[in-house]
Amino acid sequence: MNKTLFKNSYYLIATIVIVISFLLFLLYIIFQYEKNIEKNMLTVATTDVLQITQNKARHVQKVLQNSKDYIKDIRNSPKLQKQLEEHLLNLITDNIKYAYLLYKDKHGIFRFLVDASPIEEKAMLNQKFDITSDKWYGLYKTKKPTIIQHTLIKKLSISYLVPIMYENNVELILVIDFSVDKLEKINGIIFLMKSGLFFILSITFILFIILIIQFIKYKNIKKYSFTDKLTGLYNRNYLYEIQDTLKLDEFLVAALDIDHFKSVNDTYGHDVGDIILREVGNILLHTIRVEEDIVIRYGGEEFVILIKTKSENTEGSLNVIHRILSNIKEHKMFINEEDYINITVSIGVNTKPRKSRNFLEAFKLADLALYEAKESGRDVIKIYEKYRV
Amino acid sequence: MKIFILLLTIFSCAFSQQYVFLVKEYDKEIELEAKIISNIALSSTSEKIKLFIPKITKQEQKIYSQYFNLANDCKSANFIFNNKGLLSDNCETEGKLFFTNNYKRLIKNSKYYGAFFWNKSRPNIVFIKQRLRENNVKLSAQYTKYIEDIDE
Repeated sequence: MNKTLFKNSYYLIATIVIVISFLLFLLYIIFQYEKNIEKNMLTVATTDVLQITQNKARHVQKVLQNSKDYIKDIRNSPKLQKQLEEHLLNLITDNIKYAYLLYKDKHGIFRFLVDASPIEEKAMLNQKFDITSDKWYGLYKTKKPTIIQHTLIKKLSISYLVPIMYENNVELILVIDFSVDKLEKINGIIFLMKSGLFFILSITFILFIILIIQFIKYKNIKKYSFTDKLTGLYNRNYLYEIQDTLKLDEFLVAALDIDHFKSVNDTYGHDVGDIILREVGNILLHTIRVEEDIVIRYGGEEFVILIKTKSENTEGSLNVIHRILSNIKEHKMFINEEDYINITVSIGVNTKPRKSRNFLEAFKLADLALYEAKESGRDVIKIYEKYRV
Repeated sequence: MKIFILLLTIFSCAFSQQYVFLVKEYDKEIELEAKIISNIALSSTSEKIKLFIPKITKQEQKIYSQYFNLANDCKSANFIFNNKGLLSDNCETEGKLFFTNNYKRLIKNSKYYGAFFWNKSRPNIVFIKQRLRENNVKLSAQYTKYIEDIDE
């Protein structure tokens, strides 16, 4: 019984490990998936805007095509400032919070030239602009549009910087700042998807736990229904459970009956009868090979013993039967603190159950041998095949 | 019932980010502002700072008191941070440092020697060189890049 339980526990633990690994793998996939979705959605949401901004930068360059000093000309011409501001105003939408034109002075400080922000947020001409990333300086080397993702700035998600060139040098930078609204919307969708998946995973996990609990409960109930309460041995239910799947060529079938058990009950009472049954059960358990053999209380004082055999050689298995007979015979069965009685048993053995069509037939032959043992005076082992000890 | 409660708990946890309104209001922006103003004030004078913020809110009072001794009026303060544009003209300038959170106010009013403000949602700091000199303020090296030489 312990062996079966161990096997069941092993399979159960293996199943749990596999399922938990699978769930963790799914979680990992979800988190990977989340990053990709965020990236892809942001790309889809911003691609058009980035293209428009690049076009706008080209347009600014076109406006300044006759200028040889962009910074000086813009600073000195309020009309040009106004014209450029109107161009940048087209970029402002619900998602683009700011659009402005900057230059870098000789000290490396960025300053405003044109700002299309609302009046209350509009920067003054030449006003200093403190940058938050070295990528701003990097743009002067790469001379290519640059995206800066903000992690510390609460109200902005990304900034897009487009260089405006003069004679292959970066002269101005057109900047647009995306508000967090777009990113929040994207994150909101991803969060919902993630929560949904997490919820499904949680439900699956809970159902799995419930399944395991039910399985354990079922196993316990099954174990309880297969155990004889008095002796702790398997009962007849267990025999019914295994008889169809039992490999008859691997076992030797024995039927054991306690001699004169009715007289014991009549003389000493049923309590002593129970003690005898418990003791016999105990001796059987301690005599058989726990890992291989099976003992079943068939009913009343009759037991079925299945002893594992190896091929045609039944000597070793018969030795177990002989030990059972002698161990019970030599055991002092105490009926109270001082007095004891000796009990004998009769055993009928079918050494070749493989010749039978099923277990019941094989058992009948063992039972016939048991009947023979009883008839021949008890306390003896009778083998069906030979009918001799 | 146990399973129902368990499911409800998991569902609540999964959507816990939706419940931020339950958290007590605390403005991180004011916290950051207070830290920066504290560093600037300590760098601007060796005297013990007594800060006055005109029309200070309870939230500001709570946060700024962690960094400063707060004055109830302009007279008893030696550092004034005008962050709402509500400073009375009666406030004497002598022996006091004036700081603001508005670039235009800094440029227009010569009593302010510097400003910390949010420009395009980014924190910006500006000190005016001439006014630093007038107020006898010698800032530490970390603030050099914020000093502007503006003709007045």
